[in-house]
Amino acid sequence: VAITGTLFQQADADLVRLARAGDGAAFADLLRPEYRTALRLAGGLLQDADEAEDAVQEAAFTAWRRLGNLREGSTLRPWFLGIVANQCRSVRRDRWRSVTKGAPPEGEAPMSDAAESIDLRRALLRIGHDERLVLVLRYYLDLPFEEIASTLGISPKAARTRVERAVHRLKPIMQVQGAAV
Amino acid sequence: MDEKILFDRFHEALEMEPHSGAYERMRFNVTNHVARKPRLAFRMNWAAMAPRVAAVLVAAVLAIALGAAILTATHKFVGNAPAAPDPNFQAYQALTKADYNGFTAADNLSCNFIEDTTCEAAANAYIAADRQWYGDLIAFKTPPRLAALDGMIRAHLTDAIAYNKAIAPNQKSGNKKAFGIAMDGAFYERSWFDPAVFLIDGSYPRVAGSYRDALMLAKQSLVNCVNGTPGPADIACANIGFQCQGVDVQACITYAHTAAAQLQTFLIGLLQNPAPSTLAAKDRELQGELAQADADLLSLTDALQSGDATKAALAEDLFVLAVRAADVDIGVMVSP
Repeated sequence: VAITGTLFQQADADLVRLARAGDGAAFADLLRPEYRTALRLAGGLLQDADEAEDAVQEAAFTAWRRLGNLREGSTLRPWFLGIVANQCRSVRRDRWRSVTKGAPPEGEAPMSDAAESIDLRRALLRIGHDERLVLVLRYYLDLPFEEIASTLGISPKAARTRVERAVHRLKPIMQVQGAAV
Repeated sequence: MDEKILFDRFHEALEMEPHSGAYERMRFNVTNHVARKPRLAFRMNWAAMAPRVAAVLVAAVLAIALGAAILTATHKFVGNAPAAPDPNFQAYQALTKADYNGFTAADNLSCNFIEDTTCEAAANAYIAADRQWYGDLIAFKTPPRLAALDGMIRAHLTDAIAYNKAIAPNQKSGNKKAFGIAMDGAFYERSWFDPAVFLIDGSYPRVAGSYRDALMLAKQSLVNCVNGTPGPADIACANIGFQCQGVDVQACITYAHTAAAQLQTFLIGLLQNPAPSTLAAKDRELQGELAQADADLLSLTDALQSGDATKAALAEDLFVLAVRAADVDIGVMVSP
């Protein structure tokens, strides 16, 4: 499977050079193709649009500071997604608040799809950050194992194993919740 | 579970539309070097800041200063707020800023995953910064008003050091689970300090409009916690002592972290609104109980992570006792 991230072409290399020299607009242009994916990742991890936007914003500043660490010829997207994921890990928030945001109005019988969605969101908040991260990368961002591996800095085989383990961990939590509803 | 079903369910559950203009906001902030998080407030790079942003900030500062001057001239202070700047308090603020800047400066090495080679250096940088801060606090005469918060900061610094110390050994031994726990704990502690520092600095947004409002805010949650009537939106501490046993460790740790965040908010509300002199003694007592509850939560998370069920159960019990004591005190304080 081809990695679909932004490979540094000449135009990107120019933007990187300008960004490293302190040009914020150049850095923002560099991030533009990855911004939506980054926002979806943060949204999937945090389940809150406001917090997701803030997290990506902070990740952008962090990425800018660390732009010197990005090797020429390497892929921007996994590198930036890794920073976004790291930023989301440090966001402290009330998980119950975001879980209940998706709940139907009181007294209204939930549609089965909506109830399943709430179960899944709640279950995701009950597992660890790393497990949630691989599941969101795989099943929400639809990334191939190769790109998940690049984001996490591991081998594709290890990425596959992590995803499988996370699914294994998620399953019983969802079953318990389903029984409790 | 079938892969196709997983893809469908994740998309159904998580799909959300970003706010319009999100990218443009990010672009503006990056272009103008406007950081959203207040932690950068202590190390602003004025030279790098766009002139118009600097002008807006200067105007805002002048407006706030003018407003404060008018208020000072027309209103008497309420409660035990100092009528003049307390040099000891100002020195404590300066110390906190300096140590916090040292703490944030430690964040220049990347450590996200067990494969990252810079984890040990990153953890050591944090340990050094945490120790420096802790040592400075020990050597300083804490302003009496901040005694409870100061104790909490020391406890969380100790906890942060312990988590950071666990990162490198677990990475070397390849213990992913223990490494993940240490990382989560270290990240959690890093974020805990922000509100405390901003409160000391005076830049934390107001939690309550008055001392009584701050008490009522705390009372609502504490009563529900004591009565075990969990409201899913705002009473996370109700989960502890009633639901924590028997659920998985990670969920329980999450409850504890959420409860600790709430306790911190209650304390900030009290500190932003000095108590009337008639309630000053009771206020100190209440702050002490909130700090004790926070310490019990730290014990709880430590016990959960080390798999010590007996210690965890004891910490839960102690937490509930501290919350009950705080609830009783608030009841006395708000009674007519």
